[in-house]
Amino acid sequence: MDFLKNRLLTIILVLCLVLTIFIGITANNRSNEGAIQGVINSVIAPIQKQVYNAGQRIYNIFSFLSSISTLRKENIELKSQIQDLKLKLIDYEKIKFENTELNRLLQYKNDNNFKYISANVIGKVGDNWFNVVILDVGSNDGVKKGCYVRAADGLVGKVVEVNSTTSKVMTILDENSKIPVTINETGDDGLLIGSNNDSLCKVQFLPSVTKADKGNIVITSNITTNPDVLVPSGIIVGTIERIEYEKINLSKTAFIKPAVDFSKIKKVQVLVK
Amino acid sequence: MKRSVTFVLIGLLCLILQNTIFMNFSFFGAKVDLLLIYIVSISMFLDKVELIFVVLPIGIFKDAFFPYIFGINTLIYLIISFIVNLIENKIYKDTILIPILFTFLSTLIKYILVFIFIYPSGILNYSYEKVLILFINEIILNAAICPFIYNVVKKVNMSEKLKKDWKF
Repeated sequence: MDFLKNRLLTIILVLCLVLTIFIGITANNRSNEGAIQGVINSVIAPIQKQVYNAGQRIYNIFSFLSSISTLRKENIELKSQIQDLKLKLIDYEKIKFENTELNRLLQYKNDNNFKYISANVIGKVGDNWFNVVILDVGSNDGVKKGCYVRAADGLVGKVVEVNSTTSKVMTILDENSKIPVTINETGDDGLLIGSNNDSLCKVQFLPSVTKADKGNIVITSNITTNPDVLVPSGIIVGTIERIEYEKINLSKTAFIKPAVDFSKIKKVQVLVK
Repeated sequence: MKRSVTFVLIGLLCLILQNTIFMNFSFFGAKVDLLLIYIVSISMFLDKVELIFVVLPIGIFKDAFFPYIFGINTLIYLIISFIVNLIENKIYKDTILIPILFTFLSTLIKYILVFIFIYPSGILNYSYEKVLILFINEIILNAAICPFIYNVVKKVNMSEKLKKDWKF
């Protein structure tokens, strides 16, 4: 103990130096994976899973109490939406039948080689800097870096780090999430990134002549640069809230409201090849 | 040893609460840093050697869950605990304002270190205005939560089982 007291400043300086080296190496690789992290994650993850579920229940009570005032208005809006959707459903059934017939005539091969791994969200990390959630599945379950993750309502994000029993998923709200997407109504392609905002993300590089408008649905497109990752097209990302023209790169940016409510997220699916 | 283990376990509890419950609540986009407030509070009661044994594992636990970078949180907590402990030894006033002021200072140091270590790597692309707004909001949040954590740490430190004997 006396030795420690006498050499305290030296020890702290050495520790700082070692940590700085660690920061340099991991920041360069943009990956915080390793044996120490794997062991700590595996030990703490089961406890964290239980606490997360309890925390979600507490949060749901708070959000229920705050939403009581808007329930009546929301109910009226939803009723009118149901009427619209019923009409759309009739069209959908007709188009679906036509599509099946035409595909059969063209002998089109539907190549949907997806395998879904069900997972639970057990935590949210990254403080104010990153928007990352932790899942209770890892490399032992077949999860790989870059896999897409979806919830019942839509796209959640993609896997950025994998340990043996857990994995970290960068959500679409994160500024580094660069996911190729398409506007469903117009077919315009863009790049989805987070906007440092808890509730909105944006689609950049839309053509300046795009006819995309408020209320249009944004879905994933199947463009990829990584052959190991199967990019699923057609997963709902969200709906357009507003569109702005960006003078600097002569393109339009759409601000979208994600389909997934990230504050209540619990069950997800990881899409693997 | 018993004291160190107890404070590490409380730190672990703070980390789990932060990752599971407190990340859901934000104040204009900023989230409270429960572990930072805890580190500030324990730095006012533990001696320097005890602090290393407590802060180092807590920092490593936090870094294991942190995306992309390993070591940044441990480094931030080590530096903050050392500075707070150094200044605290020269202050003899026992008032709740002192931990609040230390929380303010610690949040500032945290942002400076994040700026120095994460920005050059290109992982973080936040604008300066955004960082400034986050910093102000986080300071308000941390200062509001600080008295509760400080009182819990004070009670634990004063408990009969963990009380330290005077040495002359």
